[in-house]
Amino acid sequence: MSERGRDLRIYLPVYAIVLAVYIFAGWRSASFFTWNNNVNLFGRVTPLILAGLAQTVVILTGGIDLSVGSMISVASVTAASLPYVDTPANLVLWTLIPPLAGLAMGAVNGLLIAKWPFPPFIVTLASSSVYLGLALYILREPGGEVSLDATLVSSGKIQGIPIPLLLMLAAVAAAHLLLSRTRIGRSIYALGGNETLAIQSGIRPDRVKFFVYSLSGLFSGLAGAYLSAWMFAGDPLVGEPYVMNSIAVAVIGGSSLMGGRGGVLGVVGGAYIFYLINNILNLLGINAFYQYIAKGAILIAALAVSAPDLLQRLGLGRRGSE
Amino acid sequence: MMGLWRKIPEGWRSLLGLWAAILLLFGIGGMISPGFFSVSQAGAIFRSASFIGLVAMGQTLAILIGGIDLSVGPLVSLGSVFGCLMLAGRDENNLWAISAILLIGVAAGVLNGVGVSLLGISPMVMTLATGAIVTGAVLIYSQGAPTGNASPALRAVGVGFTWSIPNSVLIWLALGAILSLVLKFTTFGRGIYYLGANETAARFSGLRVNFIKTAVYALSGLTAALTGIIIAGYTSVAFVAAGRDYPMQSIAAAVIGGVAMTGGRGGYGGAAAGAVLLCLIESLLTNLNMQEPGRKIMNGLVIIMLMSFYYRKRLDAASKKKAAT
Amino acid sequence: MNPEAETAGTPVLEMFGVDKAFAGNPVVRQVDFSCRAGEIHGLVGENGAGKSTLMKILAGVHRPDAGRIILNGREVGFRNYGEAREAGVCVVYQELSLLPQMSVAENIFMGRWRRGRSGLVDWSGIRREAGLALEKVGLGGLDVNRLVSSLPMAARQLIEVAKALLYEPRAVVFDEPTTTLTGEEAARLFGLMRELKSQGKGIIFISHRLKEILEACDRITVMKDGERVVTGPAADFTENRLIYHMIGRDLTQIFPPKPKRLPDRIVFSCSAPAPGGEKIELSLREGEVLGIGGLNGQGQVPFLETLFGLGPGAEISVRGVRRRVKSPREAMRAGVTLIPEDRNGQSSFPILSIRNNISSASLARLSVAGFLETWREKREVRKIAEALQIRMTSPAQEVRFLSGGNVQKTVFARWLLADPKAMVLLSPTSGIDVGTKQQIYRLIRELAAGGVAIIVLTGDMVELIGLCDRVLVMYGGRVGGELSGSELTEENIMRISVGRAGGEGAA
Repeated sequence: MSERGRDLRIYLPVYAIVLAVYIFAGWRSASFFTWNNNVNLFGRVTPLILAGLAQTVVILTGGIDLSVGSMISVASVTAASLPYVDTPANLVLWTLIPPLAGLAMGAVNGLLIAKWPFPPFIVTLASSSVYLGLALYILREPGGEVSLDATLVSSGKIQGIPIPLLLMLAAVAAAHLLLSRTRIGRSIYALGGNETLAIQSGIRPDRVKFFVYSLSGLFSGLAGAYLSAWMFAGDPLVGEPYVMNSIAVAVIGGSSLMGGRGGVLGVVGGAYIFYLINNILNLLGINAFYQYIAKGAILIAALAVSAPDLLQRLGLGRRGSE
Repeated sequence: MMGLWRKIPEGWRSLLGLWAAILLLFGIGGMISPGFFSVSQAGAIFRSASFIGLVAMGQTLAILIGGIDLSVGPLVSLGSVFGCLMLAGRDENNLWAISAILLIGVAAGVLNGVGVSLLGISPMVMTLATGAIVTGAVLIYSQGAPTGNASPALRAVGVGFTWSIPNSVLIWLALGAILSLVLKFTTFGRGIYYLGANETAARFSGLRVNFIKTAVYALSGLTAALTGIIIAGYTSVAFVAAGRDYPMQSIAAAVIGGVAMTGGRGGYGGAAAGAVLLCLIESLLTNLNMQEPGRKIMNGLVIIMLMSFYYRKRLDAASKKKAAT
Repeated sequence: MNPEAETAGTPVLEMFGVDKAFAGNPVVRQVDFSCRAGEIHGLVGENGAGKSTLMKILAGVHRPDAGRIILNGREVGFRNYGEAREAGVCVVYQELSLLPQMSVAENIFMGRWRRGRSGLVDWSGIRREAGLALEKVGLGGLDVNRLVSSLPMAARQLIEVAKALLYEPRAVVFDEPTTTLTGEEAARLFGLMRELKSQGKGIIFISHRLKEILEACDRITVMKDGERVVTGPAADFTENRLIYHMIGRDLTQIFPPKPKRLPDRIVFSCSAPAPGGEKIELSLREGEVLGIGGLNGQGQVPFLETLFGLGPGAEISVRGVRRRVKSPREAMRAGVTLIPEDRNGQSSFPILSIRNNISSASLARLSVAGFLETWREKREVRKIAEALQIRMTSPAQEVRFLSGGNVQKTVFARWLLADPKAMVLLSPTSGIDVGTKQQIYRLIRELAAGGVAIIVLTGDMVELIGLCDRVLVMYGGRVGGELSGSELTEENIMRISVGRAGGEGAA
């Protein structure tokens, strides 16, 4: 198999599902394909894509980041607590500080994981609790004030293209470029593939790990800032659902929890599937609670299908030759 | 004194250390806040610990085989919501309602087990998915606003005491002791350790790997559902988010108790102590009037501190004993 | 044998008085070692003799406690892999350093991705240079975009060498490179080594296969118990002399004697589908050791695994009882056991105790109604560990701290405790020192004499001929031929291995 073959195998399942769902949706409801519906979709899906990107880079190194939700929450309440300054500088403040806060939190995670052999699961489990406490400390209840300028982000357009869409495409493109065309990006895959071998090839695991967890914090911070603009407020619990959802999106998007395999191109597809489900249920007038069951089922289906030795396990196939 | 410490076998040392820490904290709490070091306070703490501890029973097994169970949260919620709905406050419904819920818990666990063993899906994702399905079921059945009450008998279990000990704690002690025995002395328990240490070698040794995995997740689902039912007895009415903290707390308890995330190492005694420690700290902080933000932060810091203790210990042991290559 | 050995090449590297101890245990004691330009220097010794550690010191993995290392006339002290590589020392390890799910090109440039003008990784440049690097090792036509996972072991090894050559090393160390190669592939590797030698590089060749060492090397150094025992031209040594130096006593016979006559009683027979499509039928008489040979990849492992229930079902008959096995459990219930080649990955539980490792296949027998009789377990484990002379501090010691030979003994102990009636051994002595090998061969003979059917798969020709009464040589997924008695020679095995048509095995 060649590189292209491998990449195709990783991303095909996701987009096949997206296509299937899209067609099904359009068939069942005419209003699905309207411009409004789709713009709305972009807007909603962006934070999940950002969270998915955060989780993907971490998962590629064989780790995991359970603090994504709390970091998003912290960024959200931070954005809503910034002092209102009546100048254009306000927007700059608002777009810089929450992501930087996220970066700082991610860096702390990275430090703990890189310097000592603490398992990422536990470190981020603990830090998610700590960061949640921080978020609650900043804002006990949803509220705060988000400057009006900032809310332009969610509903504004540049050259007729909605800003959320631009943001999403920029983030994904940047992440993809990072992973495929930079040295640290390739180091991420090598580290996830086999840490010992990566070290032998001169890769510094502590630097790479510090980098990915910081990056995860940065993306989470962006997501939090975006969410506060969308909701006109900060919410210390806004990030809660994003932890598990980001893992699901990363995994459906083709990345393996073992590390070393996958990428960000599938994250868009994965996030889309999630929101498409909600969208469809809405348009079809079905109880929104069914989304959980649908998501669970799709998660299982997507993974079962991409399992390489599926037939073998079911006892139906021959074992591979040596 | 140091000589005495060294004589204690490896596995017991961390357990003893944990209980020493627990006693110490109790004492400190008593000094700071009179009334803390009392039977009633201890009872409350142990009752909370029993809930986490029961869920941690299944979680410990899952972690020991190198997996994890994130569906315990939704299953606890299921126990609570379905419990109240089915019991509707009447004792006649006890037998069938509780059996049905336990059966659902087992079914969810079997689904997990099948996904992990036959479909080869990673445990984190599989249990996440099953959890989502269970959450959906809970929400659909209750439409977000659960009704119903726990039956009087259940309330007695959840709220009542026997010999000054909360009933749920007694149940926890009994079940926990059985679990420890199973892990140490039965072929099934030993098989769990083999599976966690090296799945392929376990298969080549003739162990029924798929069966053990499925049984472990089934047990985990069972204990989670059971915990939900008991919690319904405690709170009397149902809450949709009753189980929200349990996945993380049960994992934290196990980790604090020395169960290694990589599998094959650790026992239930540690996880039980971990559950007590977690609840003790929470209670202590509440007593000190620390608000929720502070408590959450402390929770996280405690996990990190204890974990660093374990990992430093394992690192030292490994480098000392390693034969030259 | 090698004329270049006569000319005194300047030393490429020299090590003087090197000491290294781990946790108080001296592993390398005052060792002097040198390798000249244009020479292939063999390094042999039992496991634990210190040769791997010595090379790791050279490669920068460990720092010596004492001693000097001189490379190209300059004293050096490496702190890590990278520095050693930059200075000109490259090691090709047995467990290759390639990442299977990445392409050949990426693997060759792992860690050294070149940047193009835009600051981003220059993939086309990398691919081009990878192609050039492959030509140097004779893999010129290989598509550099292929994933390493799709290539056989021999090719991967050559890629590993290509990767090492990029650093333009003065000295290249080959650590046990031929364990997984067939004779043909090994010959290709030796050709490459000679090519490198002619370029004036210093080659160090570590191996347990003494025949190869004697053939390929100009000089040989033997290490024992951390010390350098002797160094001299290869022509001065014979296999026996090397063994003598390695273990300090004379091993007149590594292999126990084979029985002259075998009783007619058949203890094992089977009929199982082979990868080649047809069914293979074989049977063993009491006391017989059956060997399976042939080039790598001819379907030996899948076929043997089928006997253990891994794969489409096999019909087996063990001591007259016929059964169809479709899973390892069923195979074990029939009395068949399989010991895979990869000890740490597949057959041992590294973090568990020796005791747990040994009893893992006997749980049912050592328990009553699901409860383990731990006192009985302890007793039986201790007995068998002593019988096999497993070197350990106590049965509670974790297996990951044992040496390779002792790990293999632990695995054997496990199966002996389970009272097998038939054993399938896949490369049972790979990477094990001579002394332990001898013990294992004796054990195998004893088992066979006791009525256990033994089937051994091995790529080591010497072992095949020395240990087995009869050998089935596989080719193209089926049995190419059967040899026994006086016909059991290297030439015959090779002849059948390459097929009557004279074509090569799968490459």
